Amino acid sequence: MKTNNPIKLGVSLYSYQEVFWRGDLDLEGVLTAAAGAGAEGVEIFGEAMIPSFPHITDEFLYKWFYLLDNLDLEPVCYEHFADRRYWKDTSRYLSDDDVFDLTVHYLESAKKLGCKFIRLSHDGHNGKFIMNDAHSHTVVNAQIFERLLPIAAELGVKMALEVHGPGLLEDGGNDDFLEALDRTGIYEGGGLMLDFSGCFRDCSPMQVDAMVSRGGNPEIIDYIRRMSRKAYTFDGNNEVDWDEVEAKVKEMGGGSVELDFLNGPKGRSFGGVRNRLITPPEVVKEYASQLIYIHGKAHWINEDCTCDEMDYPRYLQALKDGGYRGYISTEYEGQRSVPHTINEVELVRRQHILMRQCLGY
Amino acid sequence: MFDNFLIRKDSLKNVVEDGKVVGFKLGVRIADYRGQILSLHNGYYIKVDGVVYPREVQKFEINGKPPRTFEELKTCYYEHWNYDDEGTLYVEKEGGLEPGVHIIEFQQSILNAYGYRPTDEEWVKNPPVPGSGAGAGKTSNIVTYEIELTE
Repeated sequence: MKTNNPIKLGVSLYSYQEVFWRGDLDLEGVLTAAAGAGAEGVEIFGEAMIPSFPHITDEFLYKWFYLLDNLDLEPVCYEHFADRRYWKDTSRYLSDDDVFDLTVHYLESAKKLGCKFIRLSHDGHNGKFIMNDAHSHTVVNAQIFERLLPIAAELGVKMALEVHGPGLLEDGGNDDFLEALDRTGIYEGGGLMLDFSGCFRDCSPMQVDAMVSRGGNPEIIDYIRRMSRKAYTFDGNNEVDWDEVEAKVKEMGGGSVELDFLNGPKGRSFGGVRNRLITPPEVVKEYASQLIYIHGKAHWINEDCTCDEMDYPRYLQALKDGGYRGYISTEYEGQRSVPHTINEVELVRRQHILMRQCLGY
Repeated sequence: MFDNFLIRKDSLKNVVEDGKVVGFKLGVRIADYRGQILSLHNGYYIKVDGVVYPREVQKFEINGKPPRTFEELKTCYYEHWNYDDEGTLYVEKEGGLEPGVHIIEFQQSILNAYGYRPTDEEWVKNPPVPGSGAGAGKTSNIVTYEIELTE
């Protein structure tokens, strides 16, 4: 359903990965589900849903545009990967030139599909947390990004630099990409993209189930979750003394499951409720006008269309107040922790109701 | 991911060559959220009624080509296993399996394509043994199925 709203709601078809994989819904089925949730646009995941991937046949395009037209949807984004080990050729990783060529192909494919963005698989994906910074192990680095900018601009397809948890917009992990944009001035070629994983204040019920199955005490887990929501709901009343919380968890009889949940698994540089990495709404507001695209990552939305995982009212208000203009595309991912028990179509629908309520639509 | 559906339930059959039963086969799907370059496909942990059948006695059929060993597949750098396609896993076993229900413990090993995992370089040289949990993509546990041999 097309609107003139400055913030538009879309769905990444990745959200329906399980029903699609099982064959319960085909391309028409998942597009219909997105339209049924009230989406205006969709993102497509080529390597899952385009049968001739990495090539796109005319036959697919006819079907794609026919379905989109009939459902009153527009194409928004095409999912990009830059796997250096795409080939697993033991003699070599892909070179920078290979990754450049591969990405040009993605940009051209996005244009064919009518998409205005590719979600770029780039080295700033996890912000300052680069998993392996050996050059041969990187994906799209800032140098390749800079070479791609004029091509993207000419094709009219922007490269969205997704910042995904544990990375944060403000952690500096994308500075070299932003410098490339400033140096060239080709802002039509790309820009920053927020993933909601950087805005989470609480875990999902599936993660609670997993902890309980490992012997965690539901009452203690619930207490830690309440403290987590208190600390990361930026309402001016979010002071939490974590040492006190830890003492109380121990007093309640908490063991390794509960303490790992609170403090993070030993030996890892991030994780744990007390060290949660989160971009506050005020900071999202500062960045809002320079964001070009958003992934509405979600694991669980309650039946009444409220959410514990993220403070939707404050973040969507921040995006509005900060002048964000563009899409928020749902990226529903809760099905991955408990396969076959979650209705993806329903969860996407709930998130759209919640977002529309927050945005006043 | 999609743990209960990695093996198609009605796909377990014996394989007959020149009038002799030489093994069994089953239909399998990708345990991930996207398709894969075939060279990253590293074989299966498969244990049937308590007997483990190692990668060396397995072959894999996909893309309309005859079944290939995992030694052959590891150089298929340019061939893609589409997300939506079912492949057939062949296991050599003289005499095949008896009719009836079999307990199959199963794990697929497909190495990550990303290229930035700490294990990547090591696994190119020494791929993990399927069933160890390493290199098992999005289903890192061994899944148990009860499946009836249909032919």
